[in-house]
Order: sequence, then structure tokens, then C-alpha cells
Amino acid sequence: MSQDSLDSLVTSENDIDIRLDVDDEYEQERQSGRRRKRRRRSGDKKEKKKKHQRRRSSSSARDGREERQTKKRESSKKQREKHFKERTTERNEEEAQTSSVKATKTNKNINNEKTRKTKTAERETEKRNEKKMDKSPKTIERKESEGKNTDKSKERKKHKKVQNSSDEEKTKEESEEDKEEQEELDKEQEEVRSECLSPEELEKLKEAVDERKKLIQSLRVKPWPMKKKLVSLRESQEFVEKYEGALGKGKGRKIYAYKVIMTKKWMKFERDFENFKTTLIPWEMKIKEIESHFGSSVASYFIFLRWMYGINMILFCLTFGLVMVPEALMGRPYGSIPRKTVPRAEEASAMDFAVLWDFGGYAQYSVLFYGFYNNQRAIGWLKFRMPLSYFLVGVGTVAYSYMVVIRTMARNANESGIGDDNSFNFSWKMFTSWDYLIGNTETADNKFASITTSFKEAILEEQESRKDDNIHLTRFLRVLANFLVLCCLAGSGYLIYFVVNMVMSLLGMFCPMLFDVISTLENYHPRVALQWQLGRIFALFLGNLYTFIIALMDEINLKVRSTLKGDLDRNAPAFITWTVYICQRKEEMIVKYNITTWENSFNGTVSENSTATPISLHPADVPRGPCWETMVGQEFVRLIISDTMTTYITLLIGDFLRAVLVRFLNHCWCWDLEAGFPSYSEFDVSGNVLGLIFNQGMIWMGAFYAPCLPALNLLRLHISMYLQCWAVMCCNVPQERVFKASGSNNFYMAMLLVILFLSTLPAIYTIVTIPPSFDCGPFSGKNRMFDVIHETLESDFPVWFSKVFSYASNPGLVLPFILLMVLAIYYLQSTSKNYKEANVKLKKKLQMQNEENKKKNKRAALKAQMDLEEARKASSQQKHVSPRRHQDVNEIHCSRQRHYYSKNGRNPAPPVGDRSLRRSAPRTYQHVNPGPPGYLPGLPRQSETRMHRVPSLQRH
Amino acid sequence: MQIEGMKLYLSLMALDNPFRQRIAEVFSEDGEGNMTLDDFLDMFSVLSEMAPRDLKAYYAFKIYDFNSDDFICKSDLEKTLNKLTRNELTDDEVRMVCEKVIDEADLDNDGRLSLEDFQHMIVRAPEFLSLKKNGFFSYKIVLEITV
Repeated sequence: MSQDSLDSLVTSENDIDIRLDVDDEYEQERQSGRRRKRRRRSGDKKEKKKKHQRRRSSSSARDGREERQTKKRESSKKQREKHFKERTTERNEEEAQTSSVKATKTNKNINNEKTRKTKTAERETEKRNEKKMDKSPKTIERKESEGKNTDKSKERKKHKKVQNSSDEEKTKEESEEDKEEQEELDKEQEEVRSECLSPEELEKLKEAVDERKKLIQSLRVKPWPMKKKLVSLRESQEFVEKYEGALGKGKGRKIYAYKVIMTKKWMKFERDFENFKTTLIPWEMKIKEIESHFGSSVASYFIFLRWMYGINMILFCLTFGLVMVPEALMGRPYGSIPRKTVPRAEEASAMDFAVLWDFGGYAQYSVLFYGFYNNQRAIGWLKFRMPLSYFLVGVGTVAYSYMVVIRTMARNANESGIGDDNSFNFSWKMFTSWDYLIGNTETADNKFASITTSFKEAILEEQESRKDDNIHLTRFLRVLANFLVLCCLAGSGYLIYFVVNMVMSLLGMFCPMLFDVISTLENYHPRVALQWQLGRIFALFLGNLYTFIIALMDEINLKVRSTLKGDLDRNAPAFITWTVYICQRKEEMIVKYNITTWENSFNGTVSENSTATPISLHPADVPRGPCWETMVGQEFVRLIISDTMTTYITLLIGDFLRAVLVRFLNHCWCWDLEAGFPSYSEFDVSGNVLGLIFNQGMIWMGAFYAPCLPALNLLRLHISMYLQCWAVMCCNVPQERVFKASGSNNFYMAMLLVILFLSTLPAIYTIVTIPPSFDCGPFSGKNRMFDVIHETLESDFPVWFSKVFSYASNPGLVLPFILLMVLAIYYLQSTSKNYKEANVKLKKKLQMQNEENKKKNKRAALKAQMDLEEARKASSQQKHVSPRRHQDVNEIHCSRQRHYYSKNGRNPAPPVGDRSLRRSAPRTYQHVNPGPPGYLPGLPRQSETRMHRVPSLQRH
Repeated sequence: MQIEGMKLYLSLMALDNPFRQRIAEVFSEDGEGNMTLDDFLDMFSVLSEMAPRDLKAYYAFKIYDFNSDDFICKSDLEKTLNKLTRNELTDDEVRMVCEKVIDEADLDNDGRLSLEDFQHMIVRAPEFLSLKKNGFFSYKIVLEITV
């Protein structure tokens, strides 16, 4: 203590001295021998070190030098200052020594000199033991500087040791921390060392440190047991610390620790978020469960259903948010005008359930249907352009659907084009399919089921690809089957054309079964068979529909609406527009005539006695024309409802009741119901998909006239999702041949696109060609529905805009534009074709190359193996390998093998001692590892590690 | 760390895990499933999300190598397959799958998979490439079923 304080006094005194005569003395100092200076400095450092130790044991207050040292750590700027100070102190000491003015100080210096010498001797021996390669004689100066560095690191360790205990994670963290800090303070260290080390030594040291750092980084990659990892980590950490110098524990460290924690937290958050996103995907779990039991083909239906749900959600948002809600909130209320009021004649029964169920009565005169909307240009305080909005939403619905379908198709095509690297199909299935995180029995069951299913699928694929039967027979059978199907289609068309009533639904029921029977002839892969089946049923439905429409056109003039209504079939929506329209036109004429005559008579009476107040007529009493748009909408809504009902009922009866009967009657029945005739039903993918597609077609067709349709469809899809999921899991059995659905559902999409096109045709036709009803709907009073655009352009936009628009819509401009578009499409199409071809070619090339490589490898490996066998024989005679650690042996094998591969198998058998040599050296596992780091001077071995550890533990 | 670790341990050692015995054996020093603390830490470091792929592949190989002869041979494959499918495949199917696996992954044509073969095959697996998202041999919050 006393010495410390004295010392500090002395230094402070010296400081003052220096400042007085700094100018001339500094020059002198520079000229004096570098070596001497170093010695002085190092002696000084030695003192410092001693003090550290003392301070540690006694935990005394900091003296002036200590303060200086901390200062040094804080910034390089200050450090320079300190350097200067140190130097000057040395000078002073020198003076003191020579003149022997300060006895105490000299004494101390001598003491230091002694301890220094003993210590350096110790170190020298240590280092010699540890490093043999070191040829350059170590100067005392360097040793001393190193000693100083270790000292610092020790100090730092105080904090570290506790964390450095058994937790490996933390140790690793620590190591990263160290590295970071070391990098931060590298410069500082350079500055210190550059003065006392020769450049070569510095270079060497740097290399060694880098090597160690690499080791620390790559430690994770090594398949070592934990003990070894910890030891080597500690060793190299200490080494690095020692030579890279110790670092402050001030702000930087804390910030770094904080950073590490935050990155960890962030990673965890990301992971959680990923999981969260997966849980947000609606019905994902349900679908996965179904997939695991029924295979991907059944799951593909549900995925398709979910996709449809998404589309309908968007459509619903459009119509609900931009049409129904604004009208309900801002439009005129119910009962204010005739089109918004239930007519007097229907008032009595308007609230009956039967009427409402049929979407008549109050339901008909509500926002659900076209007729309710007023033709007022702008409604509410927002000046919401209702008719325009209605029109644009109608167009937008269709446009959005087209866009989505086509985009999805394109994406699917893209996916199927790139992916499918099946080179290790079975191996991957075998080794990577188990999820090591499953901790729940039910989940595990599902996983087992799904793995089994996927294996079965893969096996089936494999068998299909291997199968080569009589090609001629198959061809003949396929042609025959197609012929039969064509006959069926023609027959059904014929029947429908002449018999019309009820035949369609019957045909729709029985033809698919017939097709199913026929398709067994063809012997296709089930996936292809499913597509054929789908295509055929689709053709049947469409053909029937159009034959029906054509048949109807013939007699449509004579038909009355009431009889027609009865004939509506779920698969025949398109004709409604036609028939209803044509009937309505006639009716409308009559009504219009009636109304004008009625109005005339009414006006006539008014004009006769003009003094009387004009009679205010209740809106319910006002005569009105037939609103054909609402009628069409109603028809569609009814169709959807009945369609949904039939689907659900068939599901309940056909699947559930059947399953229940089979299950419970099986005990008391003469034959085995479960294995025999009725059995449980399989999930009918094709039928369900088609149902879904046609249903969507109806929505697209009718959505313009009944804005409520998307909402209804949403409800329907939602319910059927749950109902069908339940029904599948509860009453269906997996198909006999579980097959993998094609990854992309492009076939479904193609059918959807066709239906979309076919269903938008009539809607567009009506919008473009037929004038809207005169007294209902947002377009009443206009000649055509699209006049609303024209109107908006004229009244809501500046004049120049409409002018520009009229120019732009000039056929002279539009036609070239269309031509340009066609050209562009053609160009893109041909380029994409070329790319596709190139892609296929490249794929083939790659495959060929892969196979070639495989063959080559195999040949090389065969040779290598033979060599290996020889070597093994030779070595087994000489060397006994203890099998305690398999991995040791394993590594040797693999490193040896790699060795062989690198020489392409031409390497002769290695010397017998090879194995033992490799064993003694630190094992290399992967190329990441640069190899065993050379042992450098001052490398702390394990014994030293312990030495460091003990005091640190005692301290805390 | 502790909670996650326990969770991981539970899910790893859950009765449903077909390879739980193997995992314990591979990571234990005595080869019989009795783990010391170091072994336990070993296991964590391998299974942690941070662990490099090569390390995972190495230990995966050891786990699938049932008879510990440093090669995955046909018997190992059959064992793996039967464990994965709970013996639901027929013998023919099992044989076929094993043959296919050997055919696909065996580069040196010795009828069994060495570590090299295994690594060559496994690092190309889509599950392996997207290690983070997928549960292959790594820890994450347990989801019902992973894709």
C-alpha cells in the first residue's frame, strides 16, 4: 500500500517535471537506444503487473497508475497520451537510477528486475516445451509485453470465469464475444505491439491467432464429444486472448452482449412468427390430417376448396364493401320509392318463411338484389357514385377472377417446370421424413400414416413407371374407351335435345358412373385416369348444357316463365338469362303500356280538377314493371341454395348413413358388409371438384344481378369445408390405390378457366346488348348499362379528359392497339415455348451428366474399395483399433476415403502407421476445418487453464 | 434454454419417436443410452438450430446406422423403414424401397451407404436445404404436423 501511494506520488512528480523540460528531453530520448527504452518500459509494465496481483488479493483502492491503465483501455487517443507519459516516466526513472536520488524507487526497480528475470526464465522453459518450431530467440521485451497482455486478460477473466462454467452455449457465446471485441480493439493492440515486436514475429503471431479463431468458429462443426470441445475451446480462447490482448469491459461489451441476446430473441421471434403464420393458414391442420390418411389427391380437393374460399372472400369483400353496405347505409331507406317497397299485392305474404326461403317478399326488395338499387347518381354525404360503383364492381369481379385463375395457372406451371428433383426420392423419404419434434401421440400417428401413405404413393409411381404391358392392347382399349365415351356424350346430347325434362339430372348422375367403368378399361395411372374422368364429366355437363340451351331456343318463344322454372337444373344456369330475358321483354312491353295508360288516365283526372291537391300515392301502390334483372338474380340464388342442399343431403345420406348402416348392421347381416357390397364409400374427388367448379361458374354468372351471391357462396364453402372434412374422416375409406396428386392443380384451374369464360359470356352479353329495366336497378333510365361510364366521364371529369378518352376509344386507335397486343402475346408465347424446350434439353443434359458422374464415381469407388480392403488387411494384422469411440474409426475411414477419392483411386495403400498417426493428431472432420493449429509459444495447456480457473472461482 | 431444452428432450424422447432409442444410444458414451451431462450437452448442441448441417448429417448417419458398423446396410434400411411406417408395408414393398434407396444413394456400389454417400444424398434433400423451416433433426416449436 505504502509503496503504491508513494509510487503514485513519484509519478505525479515526474509528470510535472516532464512537462517542464519536455522539449529538449524528448529529442534526447528518441536518439537513445531503442533497446534500452524497451527494457525500461517493460520494467515499468512488470511493476504494473505486480500491482495487479497485489490488488487482486487485497482488493485495494486504485492508484494513479491503475487509473492510467484504465484510461488507456478506454481510447487509443488517451493511450497515446499515456505512452508519452510512460516514456517520460522511464526517462525519469533512468535519471533517478543513475543519480540515486530516490532510494525507494530504485529498490523497487531492482526487485522488479529480479522477479522479472525469474519469471521470464519460467516462461522461457514453458514455451520451449510447448513450441518446438519457434526458432527465433525470444527477446525479453516481447515476453514482458506478453506478460502484460496476459495480465490484462486475467483481469478480464474475473468476470468471465463465472459464465465460463459448464454451460457450453454460454462459452460459445463468450467466444463470439471475445472475437468481436478483439476485432474492435485490434488496432489498439497493434499499436502497443508494433513497437515491441519485429514484423515477422507479429505476422506469425497473427497467423496463429487467426488459426485459433478459425478453430473456435469451426468447433461446432466437429463431431467431438463435449469434453474435448470445451477443452479445445478454452485453450484456443485463452490463446487468442493472450495474444490479442485483453479488452475493456465497459460499454462495448455490454452492447455486444445485448446484441447477442437480441439476435437470439429475434431468431426465436422469427421462428415463432413462422409457426404463427402456419397456424394462420385456415384449415391447414385439417387438410394435413386428411392428407396423411387419404393421400394427396383427396387433399388436393380440399386445397382447391380453400383456394376457392379465398377467391370468394375477395369477391364478397368487393360486393359487400362497395355495393351493399353503401346502399344500405347511405341510399334511400326501404319504403321510400316504389322499387324499394314490397308491392301491395305481395305485402300479406312477404314475411312468410316459404316466401323468404324462395327469396321473394322482403328478401327480394332488399340490397340482396339488383332491383333495390336506385339510379341516383351520387348518394349520401360522401357523394358515393352508386351506379358507377355497381358497374365497376361487376366488371372488377370478373376481371379479378380471370387474373387470379390465370396467375395461379402460370405459377403452377412454373413450379412444375422447375422442381421435381427426384434423384433421391426414396432416400429422402426414408431419412428425412420423420419430424423429430413431434411430441404428441396423435400427431405422431398422423405422421406415421402420412409417411406410410407417401411411401405407398411413391411405390405406386415406381411400379407404374416400370410397368410395360402389351402396348397394342392398351392402345386398343384406350381407343375403345374413348369411343364409348363419345357415344355416351352423343347419346346424352340426343336425349336432352328431344326429351329435355328431367333427363339432364339423370344423365348427370349415371354418366359419371359409366365413365368410371369405362376408364378401368384404359389402365391409366390413377392420376391420369382422374384427369380423364374429370374431363369427360366436364364435357358431359357442358355438352348437356349447351344442347339444352339450343333446344330451349327452339321453343323459347312459346314457353312461359312458370313452366320453365320447373325445368331448372343445377347444371343449367346459362339458359336462365335467355329465357327469363325473353319472357320479360314481352311482359315489360305490356306493363309499360299499361303504366303509361294508367298514368295518362291519372293525370287526366288531376288536370280536370287542378285546384285539388295532388294525390300522394303510396310507393307500394305504384304499378311497376317486371324487373328481369332481379328475377335472374333470384334464379341464381335459388339454384345455389338447392345445389348446396342436394350436396349436403347426398353427403349425409350417401356417406354418413351408409357408413352408419354398414358399421352397425354388420353384426347381424348375412354377409360381410364392410368388405362386401355396400362397403364404405371412397371420397369422390372428381365429382366434388366438378361440383365446386360449376358452382363457382354460377356465382360468376349471377353475381352481377344478385350482389349477395358471393356472400352466400362463402357461407356454403365454409360449411362444406367443415362438413366434408368431417365426413371424409368419419365415413370414407382411403382409395385402394393411393396416388400422388400432381403438385399443381392446373387441371382444375384449366376447367375453372373454361367455366369462368363460359359464365362471363352471358353476363357480358346482357350488359352490352340488353337495355336495363326502366324502373328498377342502378341503371334504370339508361339505354345500356355501360352508359354509366360515359355519364361519369362527362359529368365528373374535366372536359379534356373525356375528349382524350373519346379519342382513345376511337376504333382507329383501338384496333392497332389490339393488333399490337396480339403481336406481343404471340411473341411472348413463342419465346416461352423456346425457353421451355431449352429447359427440357438442359434438364436432360443434367440428368445424363448426373448418371455419368454416378457411374464414374462407382468405378472409382470400386477401385478405392479394393485398395482399402488391402490396407485394412495389412493394418489389422499390425494394429488393433480399440472400438470404444466409433466415430474415431469412422473419421479415419472417411478421411482415408477422401484421400483416396482425391487421387482417383490410384493411390497405393497407405503405410501401416497411417492410422495411428491420424489418431494422434487432432482429427479433421470436414473441409471447414483448416487443420490442427500449430502450438505457439505461450499456448496455455490444460494445466494452465486450471490455474486460471482456480483463483477466479475463489474470488467469487 | 431450460424450458426449450426440456421441451426438445420430451419431444425427442416421446414414446412415439421411432428413433428415440437410437438417439439415446448414439449420444451416450457407453452406447447403451445412459447419458452423462456431457452426452446430454452433446445431443443439444447437435440438435440445436444453430448446429451446422454437416454435423447434423453426421449424427443422422449414426442414428440410422443401427448395427453401428459405420455403414447403412440393407438391414439398417429395413429397420428404419419399418420403424417409420410401423410395419404397415408388405415385405415386398419394404424390399423394393430399400433397393431403391441403395440404388439411388450408393455411389461406390458396395451395396451399402457409407457416410460419404449419406452426406452426398442428404445435403440435397429439400428438407435439409430449408433446415430452419423444417423439422428435420432440429429443434423448433412443436407444430402439429410439419409440411
